[in-house]
Amino acid sequence: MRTELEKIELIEKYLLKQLDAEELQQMEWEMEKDPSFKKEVEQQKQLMDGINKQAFKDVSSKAYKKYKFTKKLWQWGIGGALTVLALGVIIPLSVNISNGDAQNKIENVMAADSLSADETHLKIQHFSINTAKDTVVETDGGIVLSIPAGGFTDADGNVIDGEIELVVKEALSASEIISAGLSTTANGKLLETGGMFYVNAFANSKELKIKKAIYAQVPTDEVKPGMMLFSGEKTADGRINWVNPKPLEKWLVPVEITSLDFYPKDYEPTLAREGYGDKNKAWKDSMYYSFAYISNCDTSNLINNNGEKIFKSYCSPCHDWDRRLTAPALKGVVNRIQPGKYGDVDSWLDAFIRDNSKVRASGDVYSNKMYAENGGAMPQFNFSEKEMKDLISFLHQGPSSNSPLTNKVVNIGETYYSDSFGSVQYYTYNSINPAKIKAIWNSKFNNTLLATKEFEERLKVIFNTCDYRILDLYVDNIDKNLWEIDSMAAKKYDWYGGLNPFLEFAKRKDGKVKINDAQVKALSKYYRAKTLACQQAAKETQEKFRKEQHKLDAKYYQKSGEKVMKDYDALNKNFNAEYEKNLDEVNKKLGIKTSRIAKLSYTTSITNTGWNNVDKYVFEATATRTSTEITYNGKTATITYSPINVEVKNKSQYDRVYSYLLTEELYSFQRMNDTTNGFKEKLNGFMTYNLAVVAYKGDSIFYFQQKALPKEGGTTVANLSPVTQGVLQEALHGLTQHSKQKDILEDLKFGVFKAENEKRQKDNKKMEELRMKIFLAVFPCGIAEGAH
Amino acid sequence: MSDNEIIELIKAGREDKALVKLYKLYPSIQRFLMNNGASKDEALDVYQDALYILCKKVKEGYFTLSAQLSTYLYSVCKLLWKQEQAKNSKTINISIDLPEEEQNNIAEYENKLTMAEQALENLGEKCIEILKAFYHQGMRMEKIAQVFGFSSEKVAKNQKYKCLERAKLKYAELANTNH
Repeated sequence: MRTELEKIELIEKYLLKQLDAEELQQMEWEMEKDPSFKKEVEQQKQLMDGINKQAFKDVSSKAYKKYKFTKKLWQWGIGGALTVLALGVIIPLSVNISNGDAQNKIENVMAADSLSADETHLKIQHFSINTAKDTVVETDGGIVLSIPAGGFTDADGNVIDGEIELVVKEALSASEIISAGLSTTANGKLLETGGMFYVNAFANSKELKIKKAIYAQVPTDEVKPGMMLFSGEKTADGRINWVNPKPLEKWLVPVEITSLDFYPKDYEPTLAREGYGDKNKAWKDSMYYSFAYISNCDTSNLINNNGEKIFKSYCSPCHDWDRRLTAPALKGVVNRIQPGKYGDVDSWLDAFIRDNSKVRASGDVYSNKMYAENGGAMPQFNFSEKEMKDLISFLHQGPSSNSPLTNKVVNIGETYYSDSFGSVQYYTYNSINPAKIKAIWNSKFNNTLLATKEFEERLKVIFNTCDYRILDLYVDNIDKNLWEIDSMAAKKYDWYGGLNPFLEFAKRKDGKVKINDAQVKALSKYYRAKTLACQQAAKETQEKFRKEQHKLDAKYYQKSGEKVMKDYDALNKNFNAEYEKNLDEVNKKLGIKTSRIAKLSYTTSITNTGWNNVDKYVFEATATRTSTEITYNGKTATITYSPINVEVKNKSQYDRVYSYLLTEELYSFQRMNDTTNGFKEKLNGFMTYNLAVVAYKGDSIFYFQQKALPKEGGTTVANLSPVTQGVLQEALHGLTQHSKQKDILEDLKFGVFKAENEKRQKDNKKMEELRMKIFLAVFPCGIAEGAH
Repeated sequence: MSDNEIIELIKAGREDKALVKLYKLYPSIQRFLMNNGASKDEALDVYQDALYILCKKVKEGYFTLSAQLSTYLYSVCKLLWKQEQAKNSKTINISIDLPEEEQNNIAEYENKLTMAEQALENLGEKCIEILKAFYHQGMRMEKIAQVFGFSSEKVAKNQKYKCLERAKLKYAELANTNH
């Protein structure tokens, strides 16, 4: 078999026409023979086309931009030499001292400052702030002003420490600007505007001066490069002129870092799709961070895994690989078997494992020899085709030398293959390890560049690069301007062809958050240490969980194996007891005075007439549980087997229901066959049976019993009623001998154990499937493959 | 520049130049599409799709210039937009000036291509760039390893296949749900 990757490679060569004549012929033959392979080739071809389309889009978008650019130049009728200045405007705090009366002072100052008579159309916004601390205010239009503590002085230069009044007017849209009569000319040239605003501050109606810069963020739909800040002044003829252009500084405003979203783009949508959308942040965090470590596993182990599992569950109670237990060691068994008329070893194994007594009865030499040497038969195993194939393949190859439980530590950034329960393979390369995110997404990084909306936006793109080095770049340079880091990232991300998102970021000229050197160093150290610690913690949690699960699995498989053997033993003993009882009764009736023969088996060949033949009929009647008439010396004896059907009322409302037949003559209980139409068995006319039905729903137990079932069988309806464990034990005690009561209780106990384990394994499987989907969201370039 | 010259440019692999010329035809098509319910972005997408179909046909030698290029692109855009609207169960009544068979071919092709694009959408940026570099630019694996910072050619090659494999799984999933 080819691996998936080899197949992709082959198809790729075919599509790129790189196969030689012979390979091509082989390929075409395979495609004709196997329609699903042909379909795969088709799909891969479509994907290649899709990739070309993506690349085409890049070229096309560039062409469109180029086309638009040349078109604009032509419309302006200028050969490109125009400096297009875009404009953000601040009307500076003026120092005009107005002489009006105190009541009207603020209005007077503002009127004196106004650049246009129509400015009164703009709403005046007042903010009361305390200059003792840093304050951030947001205006109606969305301008965010950051005012540092002690940022104002009075006219004499004394720092104001207390309540002040901040006054803002804003004209951000074109209609506001026009209705306010504000023009946008700078020395005769028209400017494109990003908005205008007026800020002033007063204490006790006295105008203040700015001591420390106020940072203003003006909202915009589109960040246009080259925006500058102009100051407004009135010219002698009453017109407005905008002067002193200054490049815009974009100071970043840190927010509470935990209020930002540092998950990969598709992480939360994936959780929502899988029905985990309403989990709280703690749950989402712990799920996300659990991907900080995905344990390693040699993938070659996976091949035999299933066969090995089956071996462990069903065979290992009696067989080991290289030492004898109750049954022979199985190492080299495939070389020892003489398949005889079965043709080959695999067919022999298949037949033998399914029903070894049949193989022996067929006169097969090797199995009869083994039977004689080992003095016992093996149980029958009704495996599916696939399970049988896996098991036989395991018998050929033996246990994997490296146990799948051994793990290697994964270094962040390395390529890794891995597997957490044995059924899924994960692969990713250089991706952003969630441990790194955990290291930065906490209060330590508050008041840094990382605690900004701007970084949040970049992080989403960083995830998509699948390159942890780009994340490191941002974390290691938190003292720099964001645009500088963007440029560095752009260089690292300098891929041929595609658009470079970091170049686009760099153009925005986003600034920095102030931070001192000591802080930078401390945080950088913290980042590395915390990343490792987080990965280590994730590893430990995961391995602990996995070890626990393996231990539980091993215990479950061992107990199941023991139970299979015990049941088989009881079945054999029951059979012998029933056979003897039948034989006794028949002999009595037929007047045969002989004692029963010493040993019985299918392989006893019947050569004499006489009671030997009677034995044979009784044996067959017992084995097939069929009513049989035996005539001997003119006398007739009848063995009757009457079908009985136990219908359990509201059966579907219980989690599990068991129905047992109990009779004094047999060694242990008989478990009735569970069918959709009730529990079925056949009653032997020589015996008297009691019935016990036990059901479970959650932790509750329900019970029904009936003594001395009618000999002719028929249908019995079981009406279960709730009981306690104690009552159940008592009831069983009254129904049967001590040893059988014990057997039933043990059987029920195993049923509970089995149900628990099956639920546990099912939950694990479900979790595994969920993790596989989440993995793809956490690692956008990774791949997860189920082995089934 | 004549239609024939544009086609020669595409054949010579100078799509970048040809496309700048072809965008001259866009404003009128854009107006038409927007009058029929397309947004600005949708109109541009449709036009890009039509351009891609044109370039692919030209390069594979299936394109014969029977009418003006503008007429052809106009028709393809109409067809694609009609198909797009039909997906949202909206019908628009516009006549399309293309032979029935060609219409069906284009419609079917576009469907598959859309699925392939959706399958690729799910991949990380890096995956897409690697695949583009390899299949479109024909970059050698050795160079790809260098450009994308892989430790060896083998690792790069493996990553490329893994990316493709992921897209293939997604594509098969989409193909199954669409049928």
